[in-house]
Amino acid sequence: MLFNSITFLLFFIWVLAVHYSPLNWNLKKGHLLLASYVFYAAWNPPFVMLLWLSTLVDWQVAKKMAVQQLKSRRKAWLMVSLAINLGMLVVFKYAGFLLDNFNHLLAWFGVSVQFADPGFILPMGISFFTFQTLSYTLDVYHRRLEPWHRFLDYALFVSFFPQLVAGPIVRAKNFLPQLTAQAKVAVESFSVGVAFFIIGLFQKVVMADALFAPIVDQVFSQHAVIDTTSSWFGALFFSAQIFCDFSGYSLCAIGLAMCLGFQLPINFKSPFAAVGFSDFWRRWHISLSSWLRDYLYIPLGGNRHGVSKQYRNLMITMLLGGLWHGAAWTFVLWGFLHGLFLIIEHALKSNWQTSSQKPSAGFKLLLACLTFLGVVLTFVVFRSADLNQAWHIIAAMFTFNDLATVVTQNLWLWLVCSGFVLMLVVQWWLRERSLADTLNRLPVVIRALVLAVALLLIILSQGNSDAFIYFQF
Amino acid sequence: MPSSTSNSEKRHWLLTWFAVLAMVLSALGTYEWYLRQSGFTPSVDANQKLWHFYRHQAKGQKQVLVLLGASRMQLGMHTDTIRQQLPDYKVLPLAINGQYPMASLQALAEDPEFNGVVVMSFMAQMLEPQYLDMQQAYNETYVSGYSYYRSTDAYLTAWLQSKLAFLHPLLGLQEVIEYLQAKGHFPNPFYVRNHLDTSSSGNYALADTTQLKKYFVADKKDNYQQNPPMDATLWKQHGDRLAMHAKAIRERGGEVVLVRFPTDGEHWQLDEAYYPKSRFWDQLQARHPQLHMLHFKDDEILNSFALPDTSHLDQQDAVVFTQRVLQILQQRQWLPGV
Repeated sequence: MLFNSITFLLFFIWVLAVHYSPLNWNLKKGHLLLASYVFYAAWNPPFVMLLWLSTLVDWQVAKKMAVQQLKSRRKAWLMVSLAINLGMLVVFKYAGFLLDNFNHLLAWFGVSVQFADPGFILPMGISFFTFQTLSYTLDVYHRRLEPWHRFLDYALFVSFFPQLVAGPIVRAKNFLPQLTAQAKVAVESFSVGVAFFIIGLFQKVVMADALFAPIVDQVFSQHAVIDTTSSWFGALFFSAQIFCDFSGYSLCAIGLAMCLGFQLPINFKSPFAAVGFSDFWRRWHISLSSWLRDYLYIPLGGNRHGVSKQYRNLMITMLLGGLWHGAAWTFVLWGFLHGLFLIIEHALKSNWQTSSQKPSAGFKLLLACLTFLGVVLTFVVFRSADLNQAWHIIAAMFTFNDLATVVTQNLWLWLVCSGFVLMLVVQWWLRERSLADTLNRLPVVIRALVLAVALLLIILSQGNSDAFIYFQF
Repeated sequence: MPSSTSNSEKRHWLLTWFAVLAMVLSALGTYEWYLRQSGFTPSVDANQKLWHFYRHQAKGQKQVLVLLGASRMQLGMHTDTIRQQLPDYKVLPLAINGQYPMASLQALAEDPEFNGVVVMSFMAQMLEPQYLDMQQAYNETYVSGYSYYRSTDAYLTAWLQSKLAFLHPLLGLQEVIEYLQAKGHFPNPFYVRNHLDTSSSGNYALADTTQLKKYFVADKKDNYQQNPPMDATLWKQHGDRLAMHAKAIRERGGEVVLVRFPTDGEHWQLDEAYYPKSRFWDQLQARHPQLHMLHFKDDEILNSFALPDTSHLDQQDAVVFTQRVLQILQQRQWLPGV
């Protein structure tokens, strides 16, 4: 189900009505679980079975691991969970990519056998819910968490509909305790939740879909004949589009959860105002980057075994993080570039630290601009269908050609540019602030005006809206 | 938090929502009022998901009447009139603007759960190979990706659009701003209106019919010049396939009626120059006498309409045209159970 649909609105009104009815908490949790399955099944009913499989496997594995004293036995159970969860990912998400590359390899060796792409449909949000259940299993394996005592709670943790298909990826230790008793939701908290939902929808429907997406689609579909100005528009606006799309979804999810009395972790914190790539990854898709840090980078050794191993670990983490987004070499390259930028940054930082020079404010601004430029370039690779397309656009950005102007320069374009600048200004403004606090502190008139304008623009921009980009991951 | 602070925050938020509601409702209300005053009417985005919603209802029902075709069918058959005259039938317009319907007929013929009546807008050119698959995408996505949620959502969205003029698909933010920049004024009311059931009505009093006539004739001339009639043998084969699809539906208790919608003036002259009725329509009928075919030239009333753009009926004429088509279908006993 899409948040930006009338069906979802009716669905959520129903969920709220039951959630605030006098029923007992267990029944309400059962209802939330059922609603989550309905939410997921609305897209493609049979795939809800994958969700059940993942839930059942990790519930059982965690229980088995908890009673095992021998680490080797615990490890064996962990392997079961990894095999099933990652196996699902490999089959549904990476099978076509792996076979395609295997076919190329065979052809390279002169073997004429070709394996056909199984053509499986990618289950929506599979990367999100498998990572979420895996975090539970891994925490139990490392004895950081006791297995939860109530299956209903655990199933709801895996399937909770606001964040099920596109995050934020929630940790069991943060979510499960919230299920012990129904939280009392104050009007202020409920209001911030609704405001988050409206702002998130505004980011998605107005900014991502109505403002940026049409120009981005135009640029990337005509990459072979692109002029310099248009290629820059395409690159900058895609960066804005993916931010608004994904952070919009996360904000909607956090807002909906707040309305139901749950706290979800913040997933974006003004990433385009980052100074440096480490800072960017502390602000962009925080729930994934912290997952990769805790369950991949640190177990690999993190920064504990010298500089070269740290760089290796960084690169492995970023490569796998890239691959998490999709089964294509463009995503691997995207991860590689981020890994490379992080390594360069670490190397430069260690030099600065030894020379004990503190960067000035102007220099920080320059670094922020360079970070943004680097991020924009990597997003060209991220958006491209293949490396050839990425190359065409990046080459056009820096060769100053004056081919046919792909993007028409009219009033609408100025409006899109204004939206882009506004987005950057708001990110700088919110760099060290929390959106919830900002909303709470705004004068009533300004707050009402902002929300009313957002709501009006959402209603008047409907029609050209697409599914959220991150559903495909 | 002290309770007085909490109470004041609560009051501020309640005030906020009251103000938001007041601003949004008054802004939308004023805009709606302005649009209605200016002559705009609500219109629906007749998209693929909405088509799936109605296509799904064609399954498993005996008394269902499906309308296939393109814009002539959408504008020419008045669905409320059909519902009035055939109250026992569920009327499902499945015409798609700008796309010839052969693929949809084939899909209905191949669907064992469909056994209703098909009234299809048909003309000789539709059997050209390049037009056979025009509606294929709609049918393929219906088979592979029909979703109760998506089609219901499309219906609910369309329902809202059918009530509120400010949700008109052509009055989106970008469309209006680009129009304002290009023309220097707000768009004029649109002459075509899509209804909730995906049928349409054309109010040609709102249109510049001289320009429209020029456009349609030039477009048709260009189309015929670019795509001259194919080899006669191939055409016959495609005609045989059409007859086979009709037979498959008839064998399940359904019916297929082919209707040639009117064109006039230079448009009809072009049609006759490239696909003369005597060589195509009449020969198809002679080769397949079991096919139920109705050509507007064979009926005095159907041939009597003036077409504002040479190709489509005005909303006033659509009612009379529909009444006459239904009268003929009933007279010839082409509607099972009527």
